[in-house]
Amino acid sequence: MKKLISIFMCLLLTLSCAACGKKAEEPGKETAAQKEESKETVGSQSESKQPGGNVQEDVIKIGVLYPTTGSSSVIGLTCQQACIMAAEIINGSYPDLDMPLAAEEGLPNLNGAKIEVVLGDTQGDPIYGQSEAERMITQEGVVAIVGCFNSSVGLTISQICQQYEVPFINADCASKSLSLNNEGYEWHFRTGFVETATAEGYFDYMDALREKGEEINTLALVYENSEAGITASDSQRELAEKRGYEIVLEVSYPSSTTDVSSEAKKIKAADPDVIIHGTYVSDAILYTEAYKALNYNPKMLLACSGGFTTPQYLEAVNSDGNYYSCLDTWSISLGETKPLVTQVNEIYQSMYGADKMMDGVNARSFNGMITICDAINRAGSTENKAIFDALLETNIDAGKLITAYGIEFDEASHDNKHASLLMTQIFDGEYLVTWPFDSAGADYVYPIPAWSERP
Amino acid sequence: MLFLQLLIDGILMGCIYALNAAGLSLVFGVVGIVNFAYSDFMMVSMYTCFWMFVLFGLDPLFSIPIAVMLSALLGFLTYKFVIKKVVDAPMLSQTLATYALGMVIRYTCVLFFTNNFRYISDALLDHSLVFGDLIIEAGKLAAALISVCAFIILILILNKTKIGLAMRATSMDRTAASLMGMNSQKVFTITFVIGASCVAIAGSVLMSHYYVYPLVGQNFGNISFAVIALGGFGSVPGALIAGVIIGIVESMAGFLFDSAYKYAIVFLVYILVVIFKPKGLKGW
Repeated sequence: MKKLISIFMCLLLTLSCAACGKKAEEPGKETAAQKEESKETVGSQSESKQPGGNVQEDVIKIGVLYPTTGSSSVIGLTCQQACIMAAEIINGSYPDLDMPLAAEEGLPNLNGAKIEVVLGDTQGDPIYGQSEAERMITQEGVVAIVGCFNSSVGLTISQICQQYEVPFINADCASKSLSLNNEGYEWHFRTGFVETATAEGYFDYMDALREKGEEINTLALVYENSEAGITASDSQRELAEKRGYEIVLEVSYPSSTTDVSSEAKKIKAADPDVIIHGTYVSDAILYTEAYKALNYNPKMLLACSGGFTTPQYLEAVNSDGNYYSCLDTWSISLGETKPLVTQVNEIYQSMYGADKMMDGVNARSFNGMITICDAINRAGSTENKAIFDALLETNIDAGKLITAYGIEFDEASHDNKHASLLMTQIFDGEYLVTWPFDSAGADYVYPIPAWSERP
Repeated sequence: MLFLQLLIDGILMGCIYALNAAGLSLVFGVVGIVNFAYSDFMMVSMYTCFWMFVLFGLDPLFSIPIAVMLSALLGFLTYKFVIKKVVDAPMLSQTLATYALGMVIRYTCVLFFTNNFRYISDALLDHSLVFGDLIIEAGKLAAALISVCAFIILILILNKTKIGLAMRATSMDRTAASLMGMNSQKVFTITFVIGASCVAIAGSVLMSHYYVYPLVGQNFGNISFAVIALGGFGSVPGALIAGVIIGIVESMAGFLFDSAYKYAIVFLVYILVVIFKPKGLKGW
C-alpha cells in the first residue's frame, strides 16, 4: 500500500513539475513553437475576420480579471459585477442611457455581436494573475483583458498581454510603473488615474483649504507596503517637499497585520495635521477602531480609493468612519448633474441588490469595459492591431461616462489624459463631494470633530 | 509611560496569541499532528459570535460558550472523520489532510458568508479605560483576562485531572500509555476537542475588536506557529510565555522600527531563542 502511495505521489509530482515547468517560463522567453502556437491562437480571431470589418463571430470574448478570493476579494467581486453589468447594458438595449453602445443590442459595427465576459480570479497574486491572463488568451480566446485592481498583478498581466499582443485595459491599478513610458508595455491602456494624480489631488485639495484659511502644515504618510502603497508614497513625498508640507512621520506596514495599535500610537505621538492613508479595507477598519480606542483623530484624514472608499468599509465601521475624506472618481452625488450616474447605479442595484451601491473602484471597472467595447466597435474588427489603433483614437466625453472625467489615451504613456479625482467626505454613510468646491454636494468639515463631540 | 503603554498592549495581545496557539501546541504534543486547519476553527468561532450578535444581539463575550460548543463539535468531527484516518499515516498525508480540511472550511464560509469583512462596531466593551496618559482598550483587556483564565483551566486540566494525566502520558510515549490501559483514541479525541475549544475562546474574544472574513485565520496562523515553536512544541505553559513575548516584541517593534519589519523582528527573536534553546523555551 505504501509503495502504491509512493508511486502515485511520484507521478503526481512529475505531472506537477511538468505543468509548472511550462508556467515557470518567463514572458519573452517562450520557445519558437510556443510563439507560433500563440500567434495561431490569437490569429484565429483575425482569420475569421472578413475584409471591411465584418466578422463571423457573433460573440466577442473579453477577459475580466480581478481578485475574487483573498484579502482583496470584496472589492474584486464588485469590480467583476460592474464589468458584467457593462456587458449586460451593451448586449441589451437601453436607449435612456446616454452612453456609448447602450442604445442598440450588441456592437452595431460588428453586426450586433454580443460581448461574453470570461471571468478569472487573480487571488491578488501576480503569479495567479499572470497564469490566468495566459489561460484567457490562449485557451479562452479573449480579444482583450480588463482588470485588475492590484498594481502588482497589473504588472504581470501587462507582461503577458504584451507577449501575446492583446490589449490590457487597466481600469483601476494606479501604480505609475505600469505606464508605457515607464515599464514599456505598449498593449497596456489605463482608463483610470495614475497614483501621481492621487498625490496631486491630495495636495491640490490641501492647497485649496489653505487658501480658505485652514492651518495645514504637517503630514503623516501611512500606507500598506505593496506596489501601490509604496509608489503612491513616493509621489506624495515629492509633492510634499515641493508644496511646503512637512512630513512628520511615515508608517509602512503589511496589510495582513493582526494589530495596528503600535502604528496608531506612533501616529498619535507624531500628531500630524493630516494623515494620508493608503490602505485596503481590512486595515482601514483596524486603523479606524485603533484611532477611536486612542481617542485620536487628525484634523483631516485623506484616503484613496480601495480601503476607506468602499461600501464594505462603512458597513463594518458605521458612523466611526464619519468625516474621513476620500479621493475618488465617483460619487452618487454626481447624479444630481448627470442622470446617467443614478441610472447605472439603479441597474447595478437591480442586478445585485437594492442595498448595494456602486463605488469609485467598480465605477472605473465599468468604464474599462465600456472603453474596450467602444474601441472594438469602432475598429469593426476583433483583430488585435485594429483594436489597438482604435484604442489610441478613443475619445469618450465625460458626459457619457459615470465618472467625472472622460477617456482619451496619451500616446506616450497610454494613460488616460483626463482622469481626475473628486474629494468626498463621509457623512452618515454617504460619500459626498466636497471638492472641487464648484461641484461640491456638501461643505467640508475641518478639523474632524473629537470622538466625544460626535452625535 | 509610553514604554508601559507598549508593554501592556503587547501583553494583552500576546495573551490572545498564546491562547490561539495553545490548542495547536496541545494537539501537536499529544497527537503528533500539526493541524493546519486550526486557524480556520478560529474563523468559524468568530463567525459564530458575529452572527449571534447580528441575529440575537448577543455580545461576543456572551457568545463564548456557544462558540466553544460549536468548535468542540467541529474538533470532534474533524478527529473522527479526518484525523483518525491519518494519525498513523506519513507526515505528508497528515499535512495534506489538515490543509485540505482548512481549505474546505474556508471556502464553505466564502460560499455562505461571502468575502465581505464583518465587524461589530458597537460591542459591549467598545471603549477605552484611561489612566492619565495610559489608555487600555477594554475589549482587549477583557480578551486577555479571559485568555488567562482559559489557560489556567487548561493547565489545571492537564495537571490535576485523570484525562490530563492521560494526555501528558500519551504525549510522552503513546505505546507505553496504551500498555498502561490508556485509550489513545479517546485521549486524541478529547485533545482535539480541547484544542478546538481553546481556539474558539481566542476567536470569540477577538471578535470584540477585530474583523472576520473567511481568510482571517491566515493572519493569525503564522503567528500561532511562531508561538508554539518559540514556546516549545507540545508545551502549553511554553505557549503562554511565547505568546506574551511575541505580543510584546510586536508592540515594541511596531512602534520603534518601521512597521513593515515588525514581523521580521518577531521571527528574529524566535531564531535567537532557538539558537540557545533549540526545542523552544519549554520544549522537551
